Amino acid sequence: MRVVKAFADSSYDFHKLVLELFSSPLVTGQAATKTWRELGETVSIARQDHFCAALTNRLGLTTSLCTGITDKTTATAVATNVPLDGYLRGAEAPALSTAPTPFFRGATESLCAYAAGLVIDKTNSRYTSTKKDSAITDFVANIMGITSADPMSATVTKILNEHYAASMAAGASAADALKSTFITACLAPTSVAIGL
Amino acid sequence: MSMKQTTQPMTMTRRQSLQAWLAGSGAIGLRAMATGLPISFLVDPRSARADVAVSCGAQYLILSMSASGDALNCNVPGTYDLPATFAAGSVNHADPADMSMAPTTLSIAGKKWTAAKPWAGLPQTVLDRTVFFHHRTGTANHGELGRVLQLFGALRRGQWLPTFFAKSLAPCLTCVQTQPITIGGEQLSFDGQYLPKVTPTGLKAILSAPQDLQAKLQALRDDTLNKLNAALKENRAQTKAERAYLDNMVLAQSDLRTMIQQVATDLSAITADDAANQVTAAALLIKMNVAPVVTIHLPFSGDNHTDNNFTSEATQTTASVNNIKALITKLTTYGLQDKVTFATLNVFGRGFDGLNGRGHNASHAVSLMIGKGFKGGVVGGLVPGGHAADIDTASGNAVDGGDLGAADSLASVGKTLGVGLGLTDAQVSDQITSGRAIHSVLAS
Repeated sequence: MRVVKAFADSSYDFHKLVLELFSSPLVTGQAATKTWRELGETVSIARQDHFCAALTNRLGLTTSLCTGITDKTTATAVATNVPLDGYLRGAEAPALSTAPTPFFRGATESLCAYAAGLVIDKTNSRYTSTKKDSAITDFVANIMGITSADPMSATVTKILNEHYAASMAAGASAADALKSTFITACLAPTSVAIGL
Repeated sequence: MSMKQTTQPMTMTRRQSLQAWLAGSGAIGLRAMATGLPISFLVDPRSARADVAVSCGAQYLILSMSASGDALNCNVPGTYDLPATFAAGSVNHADPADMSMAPTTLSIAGKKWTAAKPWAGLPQTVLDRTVFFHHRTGTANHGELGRVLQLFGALRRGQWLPTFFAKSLAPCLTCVQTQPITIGGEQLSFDGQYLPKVTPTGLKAILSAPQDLQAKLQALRDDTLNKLNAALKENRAQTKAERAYLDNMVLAQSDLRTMIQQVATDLSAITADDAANQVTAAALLIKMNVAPVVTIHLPFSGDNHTDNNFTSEATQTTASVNNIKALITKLTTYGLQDKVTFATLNVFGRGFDGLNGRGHNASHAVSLMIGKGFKGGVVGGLVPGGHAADIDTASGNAVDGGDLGAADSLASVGKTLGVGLGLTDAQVSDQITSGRAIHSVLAS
């Protein structure tokens, strides 16, 4: 109601309303508001353009991860199950899917597995299974976006290391264990969602 | 429950109006503007009526919908054998030289009608539970399929009809998810969010199970992701929305694994994304009990402004009626023929007076309903000019000045379909504010 009060106190100056409104944390999100605390904000899946671009950049790929998919099943899974930003015919509002459906979950898993095959133990690839610790550190900071300064970094790193160890214990090679760990990081909520 | 209407005082100034809209009620206008969510949803995000009791005669719904505005309305019972008040040449049916759409007599629940030949090819047992509901949507705009599905405001809180049905039916059907699944290219909204569109081949691509070591690693990943979710929920999520979202991510994962276990073999039948494969996918999703409502798109002409001799209309109508037969055959194979209702609802119908194509028709459309909840028949009809007739609700017949005006016929489609799906009159009337269910075509 601060904006309302400012508007009223200014004798209903429209310019004051515009100024207060658009510089308000309600719009900028630069500070927590009562509305935000009580109702939260929209959390969304990372839709296709966002997710593909993010993974491409984070992995340092020279071409877009999603446009270059060579495996037909993965290409179909991604193209049809990771929603695009779109418009319905004749409608003025965009159609933006935000829900983490099982189909989205399955498609992102396919894409992350495909990406793992590109960036682990390939010639000049970003990660090698002989340097699994540095790889996992990068998974946490770069793929999941949880930097070393984040209080959660140690916890998440520990969880991923445990996954790697469990994969090895299940009979996976070092490369497969690291790929599985990468896929896990790639599917983590902070990787596939926006707003958490 | 009645809704009170309030009116703004005529003396309200522009400033007061702005203030009320932007900042009133928790800045709801601003939040709607910022998030893109409808105000109705922001006002009551938990509008799902969990307290609505559903009788467990509930049916699943496979709904074909089209923003193209198909000519389904032009070749069905109720548009033939018209009286002399219709000028010659004012109602043209698709009638190609190959006679594939020739006017053909058929029987629905013991009454004779004439329709294009493909409709007569439906098995008699199916025809006897088929309703052709003549109505008007009131729009000729392709972009307003969403508004049609909202029954142009007759459905409370801006709900979309498939979503209302899904929420109402889900408690009885105990599906994997409450949200409808949209296969056919059109889009649906659920609680203010557009649902993703799924394709048959896309379903097949993600529902294949890994084997051996990869299966073990997948199970390990699921477990690790659950731990990550829990850690984030405990240490990172600051709002209810964030915590709920993390819960939904866990649920999506477990739902996916459940689906994969159930369908791997049947999915091998899917080869493309066309209507025939949509039918296969829809039947499978119902068999898997994934969702109470699945939408597909069966074309009956497309946007056929130019269609020489109605060739596309004839071809698509024949193919779609065959796909309806195929759907019912699949459902019968699965033992679901009495548990699933098929229906159509399109943005508008098409005009009758063209010869090599049809224009948009805001004032006449036909919705098809097939299921155990219906005893078959034709509701409403056509009046000169190509408009939907008023309806006598007792008989369902087209009657000039009938107690149900054509303006309320779209809402009546919603109510009739709802009751046919197993909801009560009270339940549909609680949410749909106009129109009436037509009991003459309902089984009970």
